[in-house]
Amino acid sequence: MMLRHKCCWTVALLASCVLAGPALAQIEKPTESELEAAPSQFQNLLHGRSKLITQTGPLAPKPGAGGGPPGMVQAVPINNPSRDPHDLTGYWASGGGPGGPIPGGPGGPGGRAGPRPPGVVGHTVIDANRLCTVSLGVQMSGARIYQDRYKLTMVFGNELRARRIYFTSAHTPNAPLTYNGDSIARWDGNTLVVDTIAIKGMITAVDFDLENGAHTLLLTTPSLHVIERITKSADGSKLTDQATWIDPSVTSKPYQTTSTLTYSADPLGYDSECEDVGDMFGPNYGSAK
Amino acid sequence: MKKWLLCLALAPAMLPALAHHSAAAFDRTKPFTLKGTMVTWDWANPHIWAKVMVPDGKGGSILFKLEGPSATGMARNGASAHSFKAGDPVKFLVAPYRDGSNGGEFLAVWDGTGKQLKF
Repeated sequence: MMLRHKCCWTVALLASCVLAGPALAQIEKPTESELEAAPSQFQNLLHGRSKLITQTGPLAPKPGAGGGPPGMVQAVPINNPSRDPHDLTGYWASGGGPGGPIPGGPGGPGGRAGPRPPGVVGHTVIDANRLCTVSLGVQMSGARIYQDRYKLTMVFGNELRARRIYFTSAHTPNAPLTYNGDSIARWDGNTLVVDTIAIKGMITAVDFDLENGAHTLLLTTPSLHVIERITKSADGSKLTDQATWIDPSVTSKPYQTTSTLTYSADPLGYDSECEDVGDMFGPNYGSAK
Repeated sequence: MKKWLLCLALAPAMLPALAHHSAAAFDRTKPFTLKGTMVTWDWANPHIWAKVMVPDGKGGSILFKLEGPSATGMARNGASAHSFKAGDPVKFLVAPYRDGSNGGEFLAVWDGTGKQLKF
């Protein structure tokens, strides 16, 4: 086992020499205690006790509601959700219909990719951090929605984050940049049209090429303008959010994403803890040893 | 704009970002430790980013870009945007990028006194 680890290290060292020149003086093979300092979920991989499995084929649906993020509690739609198209109150879990859980992505079975930015080949993902702080749209991780005559409030991340959408005709003058932006809404028939500007922070665009590595861009785009059309299905069980992303600083023309949420009777089923269920840091991430 | 399109064009087999993105870009089977000087400690969403200047042993230095966990997770364990400042000596345990570029995912971080920031 140790031999295997040493082999891995040797290969890595040789590779780094080829790719980046001679090994740096300040880069060293980690000691056992340094490896043990990493969160527990990494230990097997770091010690060479298991093999990293990467998926190179089509995206398989993840466990969870309708193919939602891993770790998400399975949503159980109730039999009689409100059929009032203007009442969006309730628990909404991601997935469960056309659009899939990955806005703009290839989607799983039943999913549908949004149009790609021009000039882009293969699958495209524009991840606007909707799972976490920038919670534009009732997308990806689901939301609990409260609604009154003045505003609609979406809460995410086990009630830790909230996005407010005001039923008004004009944006806040000189709206300060915030992570959720300045959102206003109006009804177009039975469709809620949400217009959002003044979005603060980094919009992460991630693209992965498993064979050849990854490229990650971090963009701050205060010029981003998002228009969402949120429609409830006739039986009240689905919400579809069609979002149009307009940012001339990023793409030459707007692109669209579609996501669908399913009404959930389970108050814990609509949401997932940001990052704690992420596949980046594993299910135990966040609990220091 | 060109940079953006180039980056997208270089990725013929992109995968979607679940919980931000997958860890497929990082090779956790080939970890190394890296000692250097903190350039920036970006308390960013969805993940923290650290830029570290690492001496190359020949009188120069090389910039490494390291992606960390979420700010939420680190804050839960006592870290903050002010845990490091430019110029601080630091050490990271790193899972490198598979493409060999100077960076990767940091899995542990220690300050100049050897104290580890848990997450």
